Amino acid sequence: MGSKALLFLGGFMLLAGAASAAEIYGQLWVTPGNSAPVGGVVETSCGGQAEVDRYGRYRITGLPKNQTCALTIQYRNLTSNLANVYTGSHRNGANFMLKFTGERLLLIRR
Amino acid sequence: MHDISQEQKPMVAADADSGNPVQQERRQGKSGWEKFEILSKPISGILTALAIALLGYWGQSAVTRIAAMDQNARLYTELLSKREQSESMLRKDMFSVILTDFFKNGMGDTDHGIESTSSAEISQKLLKLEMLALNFGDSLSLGPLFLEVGRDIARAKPSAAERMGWLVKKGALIKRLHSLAKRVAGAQLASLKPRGKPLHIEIPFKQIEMNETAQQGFYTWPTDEVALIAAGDEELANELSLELSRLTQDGVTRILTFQFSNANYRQKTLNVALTVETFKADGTLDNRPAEMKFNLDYFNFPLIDNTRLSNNQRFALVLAGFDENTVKVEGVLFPGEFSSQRDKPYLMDAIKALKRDGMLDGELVK
Repeated sequence: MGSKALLFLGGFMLLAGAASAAEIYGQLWVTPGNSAPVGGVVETSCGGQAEVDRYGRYRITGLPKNQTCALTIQYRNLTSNLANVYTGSHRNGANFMLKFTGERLLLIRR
Repeated sequence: MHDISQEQKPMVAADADSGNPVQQERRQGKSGWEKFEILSKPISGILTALAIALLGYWGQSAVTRIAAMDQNARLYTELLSKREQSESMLRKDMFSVILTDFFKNGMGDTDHGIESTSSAEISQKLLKLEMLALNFGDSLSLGPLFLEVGRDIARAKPSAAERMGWLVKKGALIKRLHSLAKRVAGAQLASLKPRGKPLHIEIPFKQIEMNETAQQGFYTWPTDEVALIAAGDEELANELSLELSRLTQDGVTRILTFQFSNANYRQKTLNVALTVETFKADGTLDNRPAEMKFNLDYFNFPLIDNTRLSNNQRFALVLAGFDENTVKVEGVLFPGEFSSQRDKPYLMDAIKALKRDGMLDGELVK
């Protein structure tokens, strides 16, 4: 009986945690040309990372809500600058433009 | 009595026997041509008749087809125009009924008494606003109505029966008003974004919170954002600053800078000072930047409330989110063609657009 209650409580806590978690999603494109940075890896300071798909989309889930997460992308052996994204709601859209300038990879929010 | 046939026969036979092969061939050839001539006359007659019949048939069917297409097009146009007419009439009736009702039963009317406004009354007014916003939001400036309803909610005082839980009810009404405004602005922004160049800014609320002290905080974008993410790297800061603020639409490049201040958490408003600098064709910056100062709240709708720029372009700013941590602002630079119906381009801009599209002949342009 006690173990059942513990299991129920555990399940409830897990569900509650999932409900209050936030996600950051969006699209990335490389300028000029608007090509998708396929194979790029998006990472946040709040934890979690995701690979960019062939359409340039990414989605990072399980992030804490109401936090400002610093997002970076690793693409073609370069790491971009940071870009802050606030997880104010459950789903937070953040689209970015990537631009190579010399040895730098600029991540520009759009 | 001579039998002529008997006398002539041997002579003909003698002629035939005595003739050379060339003459015989000629005779055979002539008969071939004659045969051809005999046969070709009826065949050519039949072919001519067939050609005329086919031509007539094709011509007739082409004329019938064109006439049918023309009739269909006319019918389609007529149907469309009738549908448009009936829809316009319906919208006109709906608009006048809702608007008349809106002002007639206005809660701002002191005769009705603001002092004891029930939540049901405000809810009714909100419903009318919802009908107006969702049906006419793209062509009417509804910001003042939203503001008025917001003020009504703020001023409303509960009757004795509603005193219990009034603040919760009031909060729910304000939330409904804001979510309606966000829905209308969001839909407009979503339709403009694919046609223009979007911009997203997140402002730390504490930095611009309205306070009683004389030291009012400002958030300058992109400078302050770049200072956060590229601290200590001047080269990166310069590059980022330029890239963040630079938007190019239809070959026209502009630099947009903002200063945000006076954020009011309770009313969800903030002040914005916007500067738009435009690059000239020779790569230099125009020395007359467009400068605007305005109050931004949830009731700014991009199709209506936008800044008119040169080259028939518009820039609109929308309040996308507001909490105790961050204020989210979204902007879009878009061609004026996609602005609301009431927004007319300047004559010079219209002529420029026609020239660009090659729709004006040289004489008129000159």
